[in-house]
Amino acid sequence: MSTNVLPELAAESVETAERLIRLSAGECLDAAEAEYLLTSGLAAIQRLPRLWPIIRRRIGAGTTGATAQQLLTRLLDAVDGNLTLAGVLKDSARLLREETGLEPEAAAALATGEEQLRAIRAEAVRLLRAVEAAARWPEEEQLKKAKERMQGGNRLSAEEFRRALLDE
Amino acid sequence: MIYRVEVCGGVSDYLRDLQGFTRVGRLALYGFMDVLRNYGDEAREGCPRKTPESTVFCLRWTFDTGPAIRSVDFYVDDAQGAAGLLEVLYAELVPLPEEG
Repeated sequence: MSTNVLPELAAESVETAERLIRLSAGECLDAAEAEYLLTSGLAAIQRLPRLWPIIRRRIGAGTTGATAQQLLTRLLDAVDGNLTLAGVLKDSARLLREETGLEPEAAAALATGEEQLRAIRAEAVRLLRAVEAAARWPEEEQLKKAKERMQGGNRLSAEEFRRALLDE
Repeated sequence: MIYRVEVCGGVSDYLRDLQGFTRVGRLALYGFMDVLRNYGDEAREGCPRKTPESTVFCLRWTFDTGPAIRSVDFYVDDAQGAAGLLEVLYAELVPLPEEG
């Protein structure tokens, strides 16, 4: 329930991708400018695979479904933004190759980065589906019986529950 | 408010019987108790209820069991919330989408 920096980092990644897409669409770019944007875009794309394990660890340590949903949604926004950027940069790389006759250094790494983003996307989507699954509310009768059991003394304090859970 | 959280014996039995959880996974699972204890007001306010007047809300807790990230739904009665008590009546492991 506490706020943290991860949603902001994901949002920053989206903003960077959008800015680089806009700049790459400039009509008067020369080869040097286009190559600089290609390198910058690649660095942005390569940052996301480092953010994903941090988000995954944060969720794995235990969090509410709502927080997990927020983190995964923000991450997927960032992944999708960077996949769009990768597509734009692939076009830039092709134009550079046609203009200079040389393969830009970043082109091969771009393909690898795009592949990593697709793998992250697949895992995050699967996780988000699970987190967003509808709750299967128990019958009123089940809740009533549980309440009666608790009133009858079948109840554990936090410490008793912890010990039972951990077999201590 | 800091809440006292108590758990129905059936919930404890159900969770203990879940297979494949590592010790670290069980510790991560236990984290929901700290959330109810320390952030009970937010949980009571923000977690869904079947009807607005119901005293039971559902807290979904997502964590790494060890082999995989899973979620457990906890159904918590706050009928005695004003007195600082939350009672965990029921729990269910949320099935994975592929489990249906």
